Amino acid sequence: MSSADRPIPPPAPLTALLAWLVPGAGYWLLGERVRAFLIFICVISVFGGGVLIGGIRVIDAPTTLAVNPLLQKPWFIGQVLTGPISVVAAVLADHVDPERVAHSRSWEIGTLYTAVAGMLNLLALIDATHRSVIATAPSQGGKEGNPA
Amino acid sequence: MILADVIAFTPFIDPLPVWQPDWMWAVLLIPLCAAVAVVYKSIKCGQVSRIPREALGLFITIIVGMVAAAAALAGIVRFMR
Repeated sequence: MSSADRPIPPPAPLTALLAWLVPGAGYWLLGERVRAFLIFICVISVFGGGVLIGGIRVIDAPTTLAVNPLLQKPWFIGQVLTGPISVVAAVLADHVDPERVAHSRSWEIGTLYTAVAGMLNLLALIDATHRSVIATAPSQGGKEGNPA
Repeated sequence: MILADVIAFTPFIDPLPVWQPDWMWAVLLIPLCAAVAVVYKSIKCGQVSRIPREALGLFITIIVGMVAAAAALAGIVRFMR
């Protein structure tokens, strides 16, 4: 894509917010459509795979957002990084019969998948935001690739 | 028993009933490694055309590393017994 075709880079906070709301959306805003598509497919597939393996109750949200309840369920910190899909899944999980919860390896693998999905989205979010900052900086605008 | 589990299974609500061969849980780590490799290389590669090849290389590296680590740990456990 030539520099003339490249869209005007959005502000970094907007990029970060959209990258959390929809995995890959940060790259989409920056004109990196293939990269955005790959991130979206991978993050959603891993999250969906985790819910498929362990059942929706692997999304185990704390009852309040205070520190202690959150530290008792630390995997949710990773899971919620996937975006609103994890919050919706947590709400739906509360309405599922507690008897249908996974045990042992089903629980472990399902939790691992969903938390890794969130952490992969965090990596993509940080990188998209960084690219947005570089693209909007006057002296280094439009730099290609990862500067790291 | 297995048939009853499969019939009663509701996708995304019930846990997946796939644990009859004991090694099945380890197989489920393969798609996770593939996704990690693709996302990592999607972030790191400057050119999109290089992503498939580099992701495949990283995927193989992760799998070989995990198998080597498992073999080493199994050897240590056997030696300690």
